[in-house]
Amino acid sequence: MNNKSNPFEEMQNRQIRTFFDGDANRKIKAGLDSRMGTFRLLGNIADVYLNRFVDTMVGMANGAVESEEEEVQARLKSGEQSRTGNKYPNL
Amino acid sequence: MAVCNAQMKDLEVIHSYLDSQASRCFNLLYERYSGKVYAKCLTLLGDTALAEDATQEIFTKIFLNLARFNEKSKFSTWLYSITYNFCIDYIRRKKKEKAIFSDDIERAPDLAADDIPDKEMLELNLVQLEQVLGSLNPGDRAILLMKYQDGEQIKDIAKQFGKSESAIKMQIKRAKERARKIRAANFPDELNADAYEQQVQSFRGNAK
Repeated sequence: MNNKSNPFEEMQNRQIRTFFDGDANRKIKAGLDSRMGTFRLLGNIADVYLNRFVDTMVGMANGAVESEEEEVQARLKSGEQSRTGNKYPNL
Repeated sequence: MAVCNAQMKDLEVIHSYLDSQASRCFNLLYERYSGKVYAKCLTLLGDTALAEDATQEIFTKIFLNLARFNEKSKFSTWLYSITYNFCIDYIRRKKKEKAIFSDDIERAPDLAADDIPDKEMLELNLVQLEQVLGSLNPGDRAILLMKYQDGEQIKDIAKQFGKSESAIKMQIKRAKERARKIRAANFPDELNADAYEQQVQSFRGNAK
């Protein structure tokens, strides 16, 4: 490209001046800030509540299994205790 | 990483934004490029309200997809590519046009000799340029902006549109031919004056 002023760049510069001098920039920035705020809020909500929600759902789905496991653990414990008791009855 | 400041390069700002999510970083990118994005949208869409909406949509896309910027090109190239695609898609949807490049251009052999010198495009005045661009189809407009406003290389334009380099050369050639016709139809006197001036200069050159 040559060193002479480029009309494409001139046109762009003029449009940019209009953009910053007029209302367009302010309107777009306000709209964008509002959208970004909404997205951030949704992101925060998802961060805070999604984990809890997932935990709750997992808990609900696996709740019965967990309680069975707990039951088994409890039985084992009591079994060990009773066995321990039987092993040394005189102590 | 430090909070963004005006001295930082685009990539530093982007990394800082991705690390900190600080609005200040995104605002810095917006301040640097919103004017240019708006100017391109205005040229392509030809309407200030549409250009404003498009600029807002494009920056929303950037906000949501900044993490996907792979740094294979400059940030500005990536941003302008999103801008061109957004505007062309909008026009295509509105006019229900299927493609901005016709099949014969896609199959063009690599022989697209460019008869119209760049000088002819760069010597248009602003009124002529706006008239010419306003009368061209969106694909031609976009490709001329990429070449003469952004100074992009043919291979980069081809990559952005997913076309072959010869197809892009052919598209530029045809866009320039159409631009010349529009200029001749709308500003016949100026074109004759230019042709006369060229003839005089050529004659002087031969006389020397």
